[in-house]
Amino acid sequence: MSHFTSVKTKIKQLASLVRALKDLNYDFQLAEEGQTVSVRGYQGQTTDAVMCIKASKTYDIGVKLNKETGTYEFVADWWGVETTRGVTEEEFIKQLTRRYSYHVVKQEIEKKGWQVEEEEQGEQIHIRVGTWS
Amino acid sequence: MATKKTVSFTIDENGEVKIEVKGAPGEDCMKLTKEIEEALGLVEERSMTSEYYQQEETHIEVGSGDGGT
Repeated sequence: MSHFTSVKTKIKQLASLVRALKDLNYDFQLAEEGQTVSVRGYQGQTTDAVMCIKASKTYDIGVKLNKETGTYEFVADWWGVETTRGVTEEEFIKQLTRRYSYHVVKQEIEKKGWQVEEEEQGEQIHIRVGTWS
Repeated sequence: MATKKTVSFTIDENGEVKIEVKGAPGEDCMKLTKEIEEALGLVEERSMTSEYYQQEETHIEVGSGDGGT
């Protein structure tokens, strides 16, 4: 063994976020570049975001870019989301980050041209690759 | 020198990723996963194991303020 790294994932790429949302069966709407989409919250109040995730018939989760950190953040009436979709903010972020990390790892493996030797999807996801480079 | 390197990824239930590199001594192994680490986010913890130091000069100085014995 040569080294061991632990990385806390930050959501920075919309493409992998889109794949993660599809895995979790969320409908969503992505704004055109330079535009925004409307996100619905408490009693029909709205806010603007770059992406609108349809959590339920009445509640959305908005995706906004934090320009200072370069990471995407989620805004919602989490009480509304929980009561209509059955998922808490914490669960949502965990599930999404997990699938997002998976897609970023797979994308980077592909970019490098590494061979996937083993892949296991359970509570934890394991991917092992080999390279001669 | 072409040696086979293995990189293992473990994504836990919170979405944190643990990356383990085997077969790459020294700085090589850091370069190997640098882009992936940057694409993912923030490195929280990094530990080197004996193999890392095989081809690297290390210099560790331990200072003791109280002068010892």
